[in-house]
Amino acid sequence: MDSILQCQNLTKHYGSTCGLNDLTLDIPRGRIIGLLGPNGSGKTTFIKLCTGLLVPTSGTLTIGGHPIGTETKKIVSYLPEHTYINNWMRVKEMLEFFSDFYKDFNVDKARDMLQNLQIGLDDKLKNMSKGTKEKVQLILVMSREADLYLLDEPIGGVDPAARDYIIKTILTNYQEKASIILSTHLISEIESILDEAILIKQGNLILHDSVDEIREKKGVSLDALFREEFKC
Amino acid sequence: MLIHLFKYEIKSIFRQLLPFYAALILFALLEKVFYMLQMPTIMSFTALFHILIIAAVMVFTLVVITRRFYSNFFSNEGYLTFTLPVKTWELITSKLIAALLFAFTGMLLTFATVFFLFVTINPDILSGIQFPFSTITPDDMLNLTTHFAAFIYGTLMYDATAILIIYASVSIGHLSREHSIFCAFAAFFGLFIFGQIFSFVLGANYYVTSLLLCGIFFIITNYILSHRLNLA
Amino acid sequence: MAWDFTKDRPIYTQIAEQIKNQIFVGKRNLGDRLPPVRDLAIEAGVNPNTMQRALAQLEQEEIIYAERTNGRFITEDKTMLDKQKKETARLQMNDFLEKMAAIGYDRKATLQLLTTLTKDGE
Repeated sequence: MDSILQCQNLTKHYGSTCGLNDLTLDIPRGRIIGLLGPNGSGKTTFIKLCTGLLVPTSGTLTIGGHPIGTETKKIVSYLPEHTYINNWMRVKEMLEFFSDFYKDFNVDKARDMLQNLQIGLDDKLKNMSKGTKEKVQLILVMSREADLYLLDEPIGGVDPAARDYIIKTILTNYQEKASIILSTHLISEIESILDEAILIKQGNLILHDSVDEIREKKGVSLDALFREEFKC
Repeated sequence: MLIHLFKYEIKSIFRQLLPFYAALILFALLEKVFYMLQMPTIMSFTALFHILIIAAVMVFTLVVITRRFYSNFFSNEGYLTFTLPVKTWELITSKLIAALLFAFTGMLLTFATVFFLFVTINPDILSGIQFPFSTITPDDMLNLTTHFAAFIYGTLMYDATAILIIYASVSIGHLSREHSIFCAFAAFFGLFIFGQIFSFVLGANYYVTSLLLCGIFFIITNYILSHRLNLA
Repeated sequence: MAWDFTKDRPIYTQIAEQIKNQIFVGKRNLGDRLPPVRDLAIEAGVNPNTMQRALAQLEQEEIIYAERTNGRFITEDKTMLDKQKKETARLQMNDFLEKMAAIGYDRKATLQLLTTLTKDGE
């Protein structure tokens, strides 16, 4: 299968507000894609629809050829904006948890990454700083050998050194069968690692193009284009 | 997958209830110690605490079960829970069975420690309980087994209905972003009254109506979690 | 961590240039085997597909060549590289002369200034 994600006329209403309006996309495998837009533009809504945390109002959405459900959750690895591992477990118990539920979880890779950051397996999650918890969560998500990675604001609110580490982790884990969708508003930091960019404004698709095309056709960087499109 | 979900339910709830169970056993042992040391006043105080702990076990089992349901589904942890490759009904069922298990454990430990206390005071009880093998007939056995099974089933249904009405109420509360606690309580009363009316109208015996109510509350919970989830 | 890129041109062309420059300067030697695409991509801080495009461009320019199982190698053709180096230098010079013209220095004046500066320096 060449496409990893396909959606047609995907729409989500929250009561009277429209979160996502008539979105149609085809995302191939082996790409790193930036989902760009200001806060409240619909990025998180789209990601939540892909992970099954929201159900669409209308339209279709398939990942790996399956509609959203247990089958897609097996092949999608999701990093939400907020940490979800704020509980009583130790790091090694979290590794066990992921191994139990996800067949594609590579526990050795996770252990290596944790060791590189000097995070002990016996460390308790509730005693960790916010930054360390975020790194543990990133490691758990990237240690899965998934077909689609959905990273919601992975570098927002993070110091530059950690940002570099995250970007390096993303590049190191790149695989041809998988695609990574990164939602962010910090574009200049990640522009060089993106293949394609999807710009969303107020729930509508503004642009879906390769980053090289944008530079060649419009002669501007993605960052400049974003500022132009979303200027206040 | 159900087994794995169940395992983590047990781990989480056991950690929280263990102090209470330990206290229960501890006080039962202390009673025996004080009795043997012939210190009746201290022993009666211990027995008093024993009763308080029994009450605490009953209350806190319910509190812990409810808190577990809420935090695992509707707090940040929900981002992890609902992206696991499991079906919604599996999530609910694993919690229900674990909750029933702890409800029974609490009950069992209560009976055991109280029985232990009685035996301590009057060891003759043990000799009095002779299973009258000689006089018992197959009919008697059948009778006994049926009554015992009915008792177990009845308790099971009672507990399950209570647990599921809590699950359904908390889920209904989630539908309202601003007034979730108020809505949960309102739903609880509403469902309780509905349950009473339902049983009355149906007129069947408790064993049937409770099973049906369990089904209804389960379906409500399942629907809300599958179709109306909206995490912060 | 990552290499520096300007915002106005596609990244893959800039990568190709930077690799060429590395060869000119001697950071990478003729006949050297290039690291795998993924490692180069991580080193440069770019998407592997982008790095792939850059390498494809270099292959087209015959700066590097690919051996099916062994990987990619830098050419051993010194003459061709010297020609490329000269061409790149010429382009840089033209750029420079244009910039000088923009502040009012014509070619003659620029040459005079350059002679003065280089005499004082090395």
